[in-house]
Amino acid sequence: MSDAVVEFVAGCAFVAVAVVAYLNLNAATGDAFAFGAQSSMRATTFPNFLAIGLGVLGALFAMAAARRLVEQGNAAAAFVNLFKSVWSRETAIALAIIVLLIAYAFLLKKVHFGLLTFIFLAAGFVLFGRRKPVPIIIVAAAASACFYGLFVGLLQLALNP
Amino acid sequence: MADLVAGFATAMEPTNFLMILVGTMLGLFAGALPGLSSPMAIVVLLPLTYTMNALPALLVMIGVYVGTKLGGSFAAVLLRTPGTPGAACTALDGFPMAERGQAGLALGYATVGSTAGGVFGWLLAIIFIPLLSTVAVKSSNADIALVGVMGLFMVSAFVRGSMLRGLIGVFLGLLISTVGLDKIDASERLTFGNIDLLSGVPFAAALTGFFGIAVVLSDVKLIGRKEVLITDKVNMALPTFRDMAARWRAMLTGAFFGTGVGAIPGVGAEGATWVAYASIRGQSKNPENFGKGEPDGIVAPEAANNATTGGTMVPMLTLGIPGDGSTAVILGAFILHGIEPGVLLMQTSSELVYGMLAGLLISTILMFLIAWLAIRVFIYMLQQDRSWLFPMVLVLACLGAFATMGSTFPVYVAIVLGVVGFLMEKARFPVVTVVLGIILGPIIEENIRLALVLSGDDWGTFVATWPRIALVSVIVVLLAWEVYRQVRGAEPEAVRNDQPIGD
Repeated sequence: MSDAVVEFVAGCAFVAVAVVAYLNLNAATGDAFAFGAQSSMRATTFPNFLAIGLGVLGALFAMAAARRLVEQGNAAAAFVNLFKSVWSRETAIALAIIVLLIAYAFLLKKVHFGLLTFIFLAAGFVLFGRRKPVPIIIVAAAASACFYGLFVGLLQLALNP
Repeated sequence: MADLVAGFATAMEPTNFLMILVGTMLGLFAGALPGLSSPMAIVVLLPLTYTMNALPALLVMIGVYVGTKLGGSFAAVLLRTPGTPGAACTALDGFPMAERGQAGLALGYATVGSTAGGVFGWLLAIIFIPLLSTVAVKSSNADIALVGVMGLFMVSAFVRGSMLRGLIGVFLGLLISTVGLDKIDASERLTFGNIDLLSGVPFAAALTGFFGIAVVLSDVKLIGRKEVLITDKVNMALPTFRDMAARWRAMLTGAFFGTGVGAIPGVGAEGATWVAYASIRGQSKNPENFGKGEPDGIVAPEAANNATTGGTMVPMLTLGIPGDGSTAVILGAFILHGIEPGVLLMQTSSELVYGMLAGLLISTILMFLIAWLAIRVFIYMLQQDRSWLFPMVLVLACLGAFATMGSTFPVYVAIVLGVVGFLMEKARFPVVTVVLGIILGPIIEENIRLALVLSGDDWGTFVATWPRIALVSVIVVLLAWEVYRQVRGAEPEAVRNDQPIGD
């Protein structure tokens, strides 16, 4: 049951992406969907074709899922079950990792690279289930020192030194 | 032949040889750990290779690619959990052998089978690559565009999951590839007013997002899982020469299917191993022994698994079409090092191509030696928790994206695409199709437009010759088959229960 719901949501998401892309393409240039023997393929012809194609495929996918949901009955309950099952420990950890990554990216050029990487790694180890502070600190310090030596010292990336 | 000898001479230079050695060792480690895939291992190496010359950078990736193939079988034999999707088949007979107390021998069969398959695949690759490249170089823009489109349709058709899922991934990837300034008339496409997107979606960011961050997010479910080996006191017991000679049929079957099926874009090692397994079981006088620890059930799929390394090189080096996720990343490394993959590669960079092919064979031999001499190290690694590794992978993924532009914008792109890839994996969409779409998108679009310009806007140019008609026919048949399946009903149950692809 939840498979069909996930597929329905995914299909709708692809349709939404396609609609946004199509609107953006045509709002930006006013270029019509034009290909054929009359005119050369223009800059927006290929992406327009892709946006329409993605929309059609996404709609087909969503419709197939919707048909299965109707056949199985009780679609509303399936949606409720899906949204209940989304909120799990795994989801919380995945969200925490995403937040950590965004923070790392935001601070990458603002904070000392070695210190930032040490904090990121330590937090990452905790998120991935490590609990003992001493090994966490030792491994995070050693790894961030290696990364610092490699990326700042050797490869000379434009990071905050 | 002289080119190949020169390739070996280049590959054996100390720096290049060291890169192959390091890559092969890393590949064996990455393959041995369930949860780490070959594309992911190659992606995390990207930032370390930016400042290298192209050949050593590509050689280290080739080493990883080859090493992960065999590394995956260690976990398959000792845990019944394949380290890579391509080793799934090996678990069927490898684990029962280990249960009987023959774990060392099972690993020996896997190692010898992999090496034999790798060498066979390499031999076919060095025969077919020069032959195909002489044909490919005569291709017109229309031919190249059609080959690219057909490659994407074949990827969609053969990748795990339904073709509809594959096509959605391909269309999404192609759409992402059109972001930025158009190459011909410099008009903005899908930039949403963002100046950073004018040069397009950073390629390294897409790779690190889809194959690095997405994989780590998907593997959150592995947190706290302790791997329990059937035995941790294993010494590699190589089979005798006579024993292996008696298994020539299994080796040849595996190597043949691995090279042939591996050369079909999108099928990859996993498809090849199952085909080889089914074939050798069909040929066996004792098919009932399969699944209970039959050595041929290890040798054939392992030979197929490593033979794909040669098979996937053929479309990659002659047509610029990657055969699987790993070769997609390697192809990406070509682009990052300023080398344009495609039909002209053999003409413009033959030294590089032969250096890579030499590296492929050297890596296969090193893989055998390292696995034989250091199996205990890999068994130790197998038992380690991934919690130490994943945060480091995330750091390397971020830095891989950062290094492309020296700014944080590609890191944000990698995070966004990583989340997209994670959600697609959750919904069982093959993310490899998205990456292939991103790689092939510019090649296809540019060649379609050039073909139309050269033919005076005549779309009939795409069916003007017999080879083009054949290519279009393949595309139409694949599409018609999927439409027929969709009209008949939903996806088959086997597909619905599949795991998301990792390679």
